[in-house]
Amino acid sequence: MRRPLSNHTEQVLEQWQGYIGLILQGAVVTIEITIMGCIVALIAAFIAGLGRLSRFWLVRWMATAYIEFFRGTSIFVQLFWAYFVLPLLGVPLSPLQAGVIALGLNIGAYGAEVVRGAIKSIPREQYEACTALNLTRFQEMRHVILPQAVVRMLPTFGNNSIELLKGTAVVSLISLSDMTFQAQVVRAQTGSTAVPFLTILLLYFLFSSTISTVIKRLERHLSRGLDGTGT
Amino acid sequence: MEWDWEFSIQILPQLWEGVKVTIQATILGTMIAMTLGLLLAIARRSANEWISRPVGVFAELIRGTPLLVQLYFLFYVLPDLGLLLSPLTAGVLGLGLHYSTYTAEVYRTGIDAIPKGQWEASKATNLSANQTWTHIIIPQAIPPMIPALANYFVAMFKETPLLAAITVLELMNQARSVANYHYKYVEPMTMVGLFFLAVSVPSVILLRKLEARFAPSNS
Amino acid sequence: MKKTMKHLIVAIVLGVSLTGATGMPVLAADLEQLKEQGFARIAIANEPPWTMVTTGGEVSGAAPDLARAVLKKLGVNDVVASVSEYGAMIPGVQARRFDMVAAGLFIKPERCKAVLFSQPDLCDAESFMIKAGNPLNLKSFADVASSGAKIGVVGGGTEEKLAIEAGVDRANIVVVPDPQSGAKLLQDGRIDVYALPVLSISDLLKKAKDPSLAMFAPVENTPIFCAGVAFRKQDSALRNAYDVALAAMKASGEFAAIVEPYGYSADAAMQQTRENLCGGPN
Repeated sequence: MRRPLSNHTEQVLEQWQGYIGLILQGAVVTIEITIMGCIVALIAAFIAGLGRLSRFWLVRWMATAYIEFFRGTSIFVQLFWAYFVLPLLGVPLSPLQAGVIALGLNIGAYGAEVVRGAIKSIPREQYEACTALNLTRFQEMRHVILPQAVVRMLPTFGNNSIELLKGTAVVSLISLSDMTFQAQVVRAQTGSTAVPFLTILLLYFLFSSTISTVIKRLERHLSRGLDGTGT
Repeated sequence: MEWDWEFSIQILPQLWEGVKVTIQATILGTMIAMTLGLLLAIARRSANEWISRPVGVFAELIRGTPLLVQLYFLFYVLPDLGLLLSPLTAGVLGLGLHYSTYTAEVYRTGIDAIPKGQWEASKATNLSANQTWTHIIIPQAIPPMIPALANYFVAMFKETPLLAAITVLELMNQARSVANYHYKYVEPMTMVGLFFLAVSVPSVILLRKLEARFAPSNS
Repeated sequence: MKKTMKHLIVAIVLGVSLTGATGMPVLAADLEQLKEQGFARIAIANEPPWTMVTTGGEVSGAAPDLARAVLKKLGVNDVVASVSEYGAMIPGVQARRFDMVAAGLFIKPERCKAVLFSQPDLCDAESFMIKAGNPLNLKSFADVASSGAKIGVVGGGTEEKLAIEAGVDRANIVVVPDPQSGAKLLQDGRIDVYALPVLSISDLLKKAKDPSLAMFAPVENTPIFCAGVAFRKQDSALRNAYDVALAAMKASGEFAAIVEPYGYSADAAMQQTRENLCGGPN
């Protein structure tokens, strides 16, 4: 027969259950922002990366401007600008929108260089073979170049996604209820600092390790049937 | 949108105070990151598993978690354990520690690139481990890595606004203070962004020059 | 590859639509539009008892409760609150990020130039949170200035301006990340004094349960401030309608019933006028 816990202990346990629940709620928001941010980053990276390889100098110039602009300032500065200044210029953004857009465009700028580098690293023979087979430029990209290039992009994309995950912590500063924000709330309510912060540190580590594992699996899956010459 | 030029000029002195702290934090943080990173890299190569394993795990933990949370830890948790650091000290430590895990990777790549022959020759000529490191390995490993290390210097500079979250009065915090006081956000925030761009864009060109000088084969 | 492509496209569409679905703020601040919409967007802070956000996300506190009641009388059933720094509230309402500010924003002449205020609703004096026994004997902002003490204030709040005007060195003014952190900073000794309205400090002390902390109130040579709900300059019709409903509630006793449980004096608010606090018409 289990001895019932004292009233006080039960209360404390229930309280902490509530606080852990809060942090987990924040974790869900963190994951949501990471996924949405990665999608925006992926799109931006491909557009800008391919843009830098374009035949038209205007497209190249615009892509370079975007990349240097977003790599030139930190996520914090971009986020604050998007959240505080854009509404005053007529573009009202909710914290979530500001967060996803700032994170996505920032990481996308780094991703663009990866895209460009990977495509350029495809050996010339592949391009020549495409010409020999009379493939259009679109077919060449879609069926030959990109499948090989994407495999080479994956490791760095993995690192970029982890950077994005870590970047989501900054959205707590614009009152978005992510994991870091909730940890601050728990800290303010309980006065305990170590427990909430250690908890989220472990969770962030868990998430970033998961991303690494997923990327490695994806890499293996996509390099099936390829020459395996990529490094 | 109306840009208030008079206001922009009026707030420059206060923003400049923030810039001074930003530069201070960057330089101090870099010093920590560069030295600690080298120590980390050497420790991870240690034959003694009691050193290399824990150091490895510790570095992964720091690299895989947000700098902001690490700053909060140093600022809020340490006092409870009896260590009260000033905001700037905590910020510089956090910045340096976080980026030392990145520079450690750079050092590792550089050290790994040293041909095995160098190690063997050192052993053959009876050099101690200390002498091997200081006279043979490090002088050869570092120069090709300078562009990558300089890259992280710029990265740390751009990350200094995070220190605002632990009340350090660097540029971003000064800008927010100004904005809160005058109820005008456009000018201060934009000027902060422009300042970082004004430093980052030329530094990209400088970095390319460094690459050409120290690691020409990499282009 | 085909399957991955399909998955990728679905993910992109989902992602984009999710971002859109987070709700573009409706650009309405007209009473009719608010009634149609069914809710008004208000800016709040998280400084009990003026404004509070519970861990479950529920918004309460004297200012939002009062705003909710007044708006209900006007036919707008609900409020959607977003937490903001005090300094960001005025630019925010000007930019239509919210329809009004219901956060206990004090009515002051320079603010009256930027926004329209309702008649006063929540009044309070200023206080200091200090270490028990007031070791530095801080009784006014001038004392803080002359003693070289470090003072914590919230960003954009009235206390920051009071400190600066009293001559406190800017290097000694620590902007606290959020109201609750101020107590922690004082406990750690990072600041010597934390300035907030009396009711805020009382609430923090109650929650901190730390006998080493104490309150000194009221701060000398500092007026009693009253807050009001802030509107855009262009929304005078909305503000006037709000005032009418608020006056009715003051007369009927509903006003007192809402604010007094939080510790506010209904009389103090009812005896003040906006014109007085703004130093002119608003």
